[in-house]
Amino acid sequence: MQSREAISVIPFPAEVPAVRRQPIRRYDPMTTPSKDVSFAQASDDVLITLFQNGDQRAFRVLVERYQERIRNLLFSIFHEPDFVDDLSQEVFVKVYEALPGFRFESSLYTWLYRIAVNKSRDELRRRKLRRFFSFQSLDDGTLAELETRMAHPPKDHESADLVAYGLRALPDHQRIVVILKDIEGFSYEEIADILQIEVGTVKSRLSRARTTLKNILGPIIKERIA
Amino acid sequence: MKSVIPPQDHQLLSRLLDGDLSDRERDVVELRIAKEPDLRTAYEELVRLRSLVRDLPHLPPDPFFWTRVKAALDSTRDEEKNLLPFPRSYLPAVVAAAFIVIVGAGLILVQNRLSILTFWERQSTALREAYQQGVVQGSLLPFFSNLDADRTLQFALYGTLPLDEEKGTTLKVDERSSTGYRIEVQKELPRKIKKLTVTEFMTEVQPTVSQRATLDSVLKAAREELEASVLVGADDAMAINVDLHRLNKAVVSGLVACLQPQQRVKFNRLLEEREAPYTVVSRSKEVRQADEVIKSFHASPKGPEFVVVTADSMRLSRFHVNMEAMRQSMSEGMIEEMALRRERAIRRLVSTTAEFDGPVIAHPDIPRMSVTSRKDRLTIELTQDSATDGAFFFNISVAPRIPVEELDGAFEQRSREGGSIPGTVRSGDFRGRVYVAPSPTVKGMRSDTAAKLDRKSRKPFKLDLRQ
Repeated sequence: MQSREAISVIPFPAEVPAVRRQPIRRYDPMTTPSKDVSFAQASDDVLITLFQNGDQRAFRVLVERYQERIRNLLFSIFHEPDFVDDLSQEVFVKVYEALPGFRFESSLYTWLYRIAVNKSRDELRRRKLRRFFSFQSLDDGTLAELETRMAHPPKDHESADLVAYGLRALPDHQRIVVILKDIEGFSYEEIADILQIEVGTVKSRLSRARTTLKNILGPIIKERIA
Repeated sequence: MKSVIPPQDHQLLSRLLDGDLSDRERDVVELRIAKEPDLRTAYEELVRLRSLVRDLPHLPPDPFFWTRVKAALDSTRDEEKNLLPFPRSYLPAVVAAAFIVIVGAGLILVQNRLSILTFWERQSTALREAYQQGVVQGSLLPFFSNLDADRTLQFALYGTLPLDEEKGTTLKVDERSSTGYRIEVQKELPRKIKKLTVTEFMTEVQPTVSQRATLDSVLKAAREELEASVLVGADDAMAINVDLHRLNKAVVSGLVACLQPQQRVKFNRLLEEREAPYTVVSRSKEVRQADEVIKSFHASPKGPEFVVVTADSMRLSRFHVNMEAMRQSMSEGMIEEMALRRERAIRRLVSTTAEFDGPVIAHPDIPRMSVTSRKDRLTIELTQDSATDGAFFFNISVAPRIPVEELDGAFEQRSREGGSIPGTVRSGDFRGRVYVAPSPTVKGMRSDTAAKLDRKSRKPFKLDLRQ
């Protein structure tokens, strides 16, 4: 049995040393920057497997790895910076939802591009429908503007705009093939995988697209060659 | 600038540009390019075109891209959270279950479409025939508009229900084992109105919360059944369900079936104290649910049979009454109409001086039924074989108590050892109010009764008290 004194007499220190309270570090995988070297160096397949096993950090690494390529792909198709950012977000949200079911049948790279291209096609289809109901034709407008601007030799800083206009004047399926080949640098087989078409179709579609684009941008090309 | 070279050559140049040609194909095309100026120009244009496309400007990097993707993901998650009342992973199972239920219900409806159509046809035919035969004219209305749980319990226990307390009229269901059943509409109230309220009943049996809910459901269903059992037509015809005599016993045994054994003993004691004309003997301790009990209220699967009585006629007719529809269609004016009809019907039926012993109606379950109208009462008497007494639900017997004065005579006592002892009992042997069940084995007799019997008769026998 304890004595009463033993309980009541508790010495109190004359000076209590100041203790600096340490901030509580809360770990949130979705907000904590992915500075982990092992994560940054991990292959796509490893990161996908980690994500599929519940590690949310892996998704952030994948986004950071591919965000610029996807943004630029969409920019090449639409040439609208603000809209491209919105659409890129939608692409990665779609990737987040679909990634748990990713079965490693193709590379993440081509799978990502397929999602982005499909999103772009949906948007282009929506725009066509809108134009149909508003009795407008963007292609005709683009071509007319191009013809006017091509009447005078373009200055250097204008060339890029004209090439972009020329690309926009192409039919959607031809434009996407040119972008995937000449800007993104995919092989025929990869393009066929992304667009889910035959390799032969890719070759013929690309040839037709280049011929059309060459005809549209004739003066610029001729001037540069001269 | 329109190209003059054929498409096949264009495709070759395009493939050459991409390095897709085999060595031999490449040699052939390069040789042609060297020889054909148009082809050479076309190839140089393709090279230049590719260079222009490659040189298109790129978007500057977006350092906040991940932040925006994360915000979009959070927003999507929130939307999903708010939309579904269950985890999203259950969605396929829920959709599948809903699909099965819908398809199942559809199949059942399709398979039973004939019986459903026939059912509705029968309903309408039965009512139409009833009207065409002049059994009931005009719309039917429930006779009682003032029923509550207390009155329902009173009817169940004592078989009496005031029709119009101001006018002094009562509906009484009386039972005598010798004569069968009697449904009476009488002008004078009984001298002493016996009452037992729901509060008193609940205080005595002390139900649990769930038991209280069950008992309330049973009383509510009993009230609805009672309402649908006495109707009045526009021609002052009164329609009384011939199974009304059965309802009160069904309700009593139903209430008992919801109680635990100890509560049943208390309830039986209360019945005796309040001079209820029944005693209850349980042969099963199983506690029943409300829906089982309520099912027992409906006597015939074919539907209720009504004695339809006017001042000068009496018929037996079977028709279904949709009380729910009737209640919904009743407006305030209808309640006044009900009161008027009730008063007229009672006046005409009870005050008529005509006296007739109604025709015997051939009925498989009711050997003899007569309707008698005298000065002060209308009596529907149903003579039944006591062996077909249906007052036995859930192994609970609700039997009329017999006053001790009627107990004179010989009967058999069943001993605990299994044998039976013949005995003679005279009413003089008892003091106070003692009732026993009409069974010759005196089941249901209480232990203090047995003790008195023992002491007075001085005969050493034991009673079988299984209560």
